[in-house]
Amino acid sequence: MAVIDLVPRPPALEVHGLVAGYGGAPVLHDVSLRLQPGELLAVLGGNGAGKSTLLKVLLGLLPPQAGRVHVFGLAPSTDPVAARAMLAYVPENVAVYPHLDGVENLRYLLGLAGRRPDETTIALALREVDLPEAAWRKRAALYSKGMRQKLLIALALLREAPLLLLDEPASGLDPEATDQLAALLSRLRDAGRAILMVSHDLEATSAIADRYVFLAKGRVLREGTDLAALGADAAALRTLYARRADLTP
Amino acid sequence: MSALRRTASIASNELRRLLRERLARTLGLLGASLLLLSLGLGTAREAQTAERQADYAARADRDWHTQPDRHPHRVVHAGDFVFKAPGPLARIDWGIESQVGRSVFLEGHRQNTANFSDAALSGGLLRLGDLSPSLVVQQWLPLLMLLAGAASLAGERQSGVLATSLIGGARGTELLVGKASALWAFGLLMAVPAFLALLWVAATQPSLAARAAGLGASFAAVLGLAALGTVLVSSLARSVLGALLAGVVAWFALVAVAPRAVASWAELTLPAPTQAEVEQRIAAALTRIGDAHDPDSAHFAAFRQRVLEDYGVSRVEDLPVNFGGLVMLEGERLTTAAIATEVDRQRDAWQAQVDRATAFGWALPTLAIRYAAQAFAGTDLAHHRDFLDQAERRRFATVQALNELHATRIAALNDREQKLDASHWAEIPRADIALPALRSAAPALAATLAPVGVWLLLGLLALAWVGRGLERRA
Repeated sequence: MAVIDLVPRPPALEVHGLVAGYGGAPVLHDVSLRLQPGELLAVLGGNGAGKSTLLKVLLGLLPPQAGRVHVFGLAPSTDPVAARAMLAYVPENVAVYPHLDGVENLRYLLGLAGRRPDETTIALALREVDLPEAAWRKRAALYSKGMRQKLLIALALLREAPLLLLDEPASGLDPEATDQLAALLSRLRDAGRAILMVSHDLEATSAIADRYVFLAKGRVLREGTDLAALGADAAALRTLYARRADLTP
Repeated sequence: MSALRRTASIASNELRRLLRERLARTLGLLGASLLLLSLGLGTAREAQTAERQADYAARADRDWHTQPDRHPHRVVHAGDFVFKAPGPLARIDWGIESQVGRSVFLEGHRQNTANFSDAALSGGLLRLGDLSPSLVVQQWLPLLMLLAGAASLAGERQSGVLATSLIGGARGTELLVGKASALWAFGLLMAVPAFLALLWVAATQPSLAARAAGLGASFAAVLGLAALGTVLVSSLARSVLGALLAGVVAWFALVAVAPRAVASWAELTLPAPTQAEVEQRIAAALTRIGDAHDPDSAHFAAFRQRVLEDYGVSRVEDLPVNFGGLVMLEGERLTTAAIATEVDRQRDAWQAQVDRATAFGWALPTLAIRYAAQAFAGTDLAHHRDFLDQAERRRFATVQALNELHATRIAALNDREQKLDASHWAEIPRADIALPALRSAAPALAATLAPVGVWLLLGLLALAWVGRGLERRA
């Protein structure tokens, strides 16, 4: 007999009417989006579209000027500690501590979150993200971007964070590393994690995202489930990106 | 995970960075080497001074005890030397000692200044300033800490790892306190040679343990201030380069320039009488008193009348003691008091200058720590003055003991022709100079150290305040 969950579960991410920015001038205007567990959402946009500002608000580093943001029902601006416990973040330059090796990085960063996993659990996570075993005890200063990404995704697994935020995950990766990342993110999505990635790269996200949100000048320009369904609009957007032209909703 | 454990974890990680990064490790080794070098120099310098002083003291002692049979007043004018032995803490902070001298020539009717300073005996190089271990800890280790710690927050912000830490569960204040603690530990590690030297002093001379502990605490405080300042600058700067530039400018202003500027300002605004002025005033005062060698001067005529009345006789010749000796006793008492008035005026003015500069410690804790360290080491102006006071007390006791011999053992008739047996000179008191108890300096030390405590507290509060806004700058 199937079990029917009668308790309504909050979405992994819910943004409604968000206005945010620095000083007096908002960067984001009335942005709304929603992400469910087991879904991979790509937020796309050119330079200045507001992608980084959106991430800062989601991470609780920038308070909204208006609107609502909830991570599994928790507001990052008012309850950042609880909201951040639900998410993991992989920044564009994928910074880790260069003086620590891979395992030391995990132990230290997990310690900050109050977690003390044993060697076996750490090894399982590192194998799950396909980080070569020979690199585990090497200083992170020697890691490539792809290896650092895998390390931070392993951190997300060990933290059991149900929401993963990635900033330009494919930038600077070679085709093989991009394929590996896509496969890894797909596995995580299939395992029930909610994933939001922001990118300016349509090609890199087209293979793995379930849904797309196009941002331009801080506003949601288009939203759809896949690039093919967006049809001519997607082609037009691709052309506009290439020209770095002004996108107006 | 509790805030304390997170802070300890952050501190441990930052210390690991400082010990693993080649630049920071090199800076640490440089600081410790500089300190070892200065300790070696200080020890060699103090050993040389101690040897020279011991030689001079032995010679002065021999000269005193080998004086022939002679009139005690001849002994008064033959004089004696007194020395302040270099203490073991002076090799760590020699304060003003290299400039002011540690020996005084003692003679009748005069109060001489200290002479034979290291600076005066050197070819002039010491006047340019020398490398004491205390100077290394107070000036150079903070600079090295700044160079090693400028990237602590600014570097993490630039690389993006700061955001990873904050989102991973670290709080801004915990990050700042943890990193400041690690940088402080890094500074303390560089200063290990100085702490070991202080431990050795405390172990071998327990009477100096409190002073050694105070000096060690002063060093720990200055390194703590350096750690707080560096982390604050690093947390507010936009880049590592910006943090370095701001930090070096602050170091230059607070450590290199301001203490000297404040000392010059105190000297200019509170001028002390020059030695020539003091000598002139003393000469005028002695003229007013009259010549102790002339029993017929106006002052001493009145003194003679009083003595005759006290002894109940009408003629000096009927006194049971030598009136000439009594005149010497009275004359020394009067001249000593008159000289002390003028000398104290000058020394009070010097102390007022130091007090004014020390008061500036509320604005400049580096200056307060400098004066506190000298006080703990026993090498500040107050200790130098105590040495001069002890020397003067010894001079007065010696001269008056000889004058008493004059009054009681030399007959008035043919006074100048008589001699006393040389065995008398061994009975004359010649007290050694002792380092005063630390508690005598306690009020001044409390006044000096209070601003340091306040600045440390303010630094911690500033960390907490800046830490709360760290996320917005991540």
